[in-house]
Amino acid sequence: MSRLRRFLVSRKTTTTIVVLLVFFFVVASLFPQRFVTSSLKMQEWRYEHPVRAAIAERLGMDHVYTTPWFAILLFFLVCSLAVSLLEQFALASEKSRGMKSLSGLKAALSSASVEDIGTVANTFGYSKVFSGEKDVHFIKNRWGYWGSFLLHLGIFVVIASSLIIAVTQKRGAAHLVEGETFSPGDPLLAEERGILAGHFTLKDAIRLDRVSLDFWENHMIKQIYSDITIFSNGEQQMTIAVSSKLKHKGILTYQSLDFGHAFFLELKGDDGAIRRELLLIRHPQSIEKPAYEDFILTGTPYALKAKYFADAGMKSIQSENPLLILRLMDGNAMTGQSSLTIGTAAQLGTFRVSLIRVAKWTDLYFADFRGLPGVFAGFCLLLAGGLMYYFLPPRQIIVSKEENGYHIYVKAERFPEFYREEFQEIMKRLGESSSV
Amino acid sequence: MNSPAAINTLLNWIAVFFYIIATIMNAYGIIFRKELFERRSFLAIFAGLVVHTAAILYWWRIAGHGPYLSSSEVLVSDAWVMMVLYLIFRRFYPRIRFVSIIIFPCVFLMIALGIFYNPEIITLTPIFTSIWLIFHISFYKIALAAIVIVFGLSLLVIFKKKSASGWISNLPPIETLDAYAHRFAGFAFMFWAIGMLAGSIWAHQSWGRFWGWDPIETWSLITWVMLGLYLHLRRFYNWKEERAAYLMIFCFAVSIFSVFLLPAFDISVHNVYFR
Repeated sequence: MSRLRRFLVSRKTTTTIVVLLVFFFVVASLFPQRFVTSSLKMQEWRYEHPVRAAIAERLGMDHVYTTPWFAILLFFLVCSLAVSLLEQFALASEKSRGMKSLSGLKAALSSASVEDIGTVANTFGYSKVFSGEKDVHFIKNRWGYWGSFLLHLGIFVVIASSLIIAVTQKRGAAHLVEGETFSPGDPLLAEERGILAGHFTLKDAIRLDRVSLDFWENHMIKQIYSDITIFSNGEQQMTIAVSSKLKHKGILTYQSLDFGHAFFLELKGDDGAIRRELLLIRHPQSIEKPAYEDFILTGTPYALKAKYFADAGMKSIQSENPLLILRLMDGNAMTGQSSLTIGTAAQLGTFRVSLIRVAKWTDLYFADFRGLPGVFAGFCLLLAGGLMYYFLPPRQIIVSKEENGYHIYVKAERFPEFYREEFQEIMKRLGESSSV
Repeated sequence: MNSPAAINTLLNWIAVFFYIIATIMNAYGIIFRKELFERRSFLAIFAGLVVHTAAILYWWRIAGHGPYLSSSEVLVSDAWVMMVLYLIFRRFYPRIRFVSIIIFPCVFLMIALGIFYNPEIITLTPIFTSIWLIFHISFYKIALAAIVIVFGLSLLVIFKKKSASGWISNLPPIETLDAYAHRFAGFAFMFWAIGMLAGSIWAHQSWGRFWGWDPIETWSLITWVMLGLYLHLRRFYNWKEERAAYLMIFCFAVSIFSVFLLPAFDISVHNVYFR
């Protein structure tokens, strides 16, 4: 047991863990990671780099943070930190009660009384922490001894909390058009679940009532607001916006940055058959420039190339009357083109197309996870520890009674270079007679 | 000359002019042991800082947001934080004054580089309006300034180790430079951590993830772990002086890569600037 403990906190082990962590992070940043890259982009990357992709897949370099190797490393890191914390706690506790060993320290001889020494020590911010038959200990920045312990405790808490989040989190998104209701049980887009998380279903139905957009003068988006209704014991109307989330029954709802217009089309074929299409297109970034999107007309050989301008009159970025331009494509050949505004109809190749209605759409993100307060608490501990370690280095004055007077020892726990003048000044005030 | 961008550029060039004068006087004073020149160089620094501050405030008013979106805003404000932090630290730790020989040229080069990226007005997207973003960016700027100071101290340690003659002999002892490098590395480590914490709170508020492993986040973490490794090796392996100095130069290079180079290439929420 003692050998295992020594192994876990040995300098070699901890340094190796830190170096390996850096190695894993670097690898993860050099190869696209599956969980943060869309499947389309992953496919493109595999196509462009077949050899690298094959190696990455075989060695798990495309999902570094979910490989067994990374899990083993984290396990060792957590164990090493846990054992180290126990040792650091004991050490900090012992040191903050007064130093045990005087070995290696040079003493100065003073003829001043203990009371006088205490008075001088007090004026420099030192407090008496121990008074024995022979020794008296004064410490400045006593809490600084706990800096290293708190710093490592913070790292431990952050990692532990992050692991809790990773295994329990549930996330998903929904494309919603104004007026549309998303019910519990409806499939979420891009759903993510930790290995201990169950199926993610919303607790109550949510209806997107209205999307309001606020633009800067240069037509860049300033804020997106979604008015929603939650069907929970009646109807509750609420508004969310980017960076202004909603928490309802433990589930967080976020406003995404994706938004645009939804075009409700009716296409009537030569044979009189009517089909309805809903085209969701991202909002254009300016009045003059359109937004583009391609759609496949399922069950036909055709595709639709769509573009739309925010305002048919080219006057406002906030118009309720966008202009939709459609091209009907048969492979690479264009078989028809038409421009539509709300309520108009036109011939598009073999179809008679009508723009029935236009509404706005946006994405809402949903998340349910535990452990975030632990992450932030861990960060706070880490910072408190670091600040105590680097900004409040403890210093000690030990007064030891000897036959020829009092021997005075001074010691800075860290950065002694910075406190040489302070110690010299203390010794000067105490009327130090000689070094012994 | 009536365009705000032209006025901003002119102010920045004036600041660069003062800083170059200061750099020449400062280097001359340190190398040839002319204390008067070294002291007077700070007059030019203060003149440059006044104009530099005016340029930042003017552009802040024109753009309607703090200096953290466009590449020129980032570089010019980073240079400002670096200079101000150096002057503050110099007051509390007078022995770091020789780092001016590294800091001053860094500052005017950063502003000059910022000028070459045309100043442009970038409006804030909704996610860039959080107060946590301000903390996130501010603490990274402070951490970066601390890293540059450690970098300067580390270079001086190496110079002093290589040759103890000439102007180098005028520098404080290696142990003193090394002790300051150690402590400032600790400051950088802490400020970098605070920057990451503020960033994760911002990310949680804006899109529900406190950490997303995007490349810039990952390299920020790598930089922080590297700084931690530097401190760890110093504490437990007694790395010091030249060996520690070379490691810090590597850490400095990693931090520059994370903060300035990576955002120019990679696609993430962080690279609104430098694109």
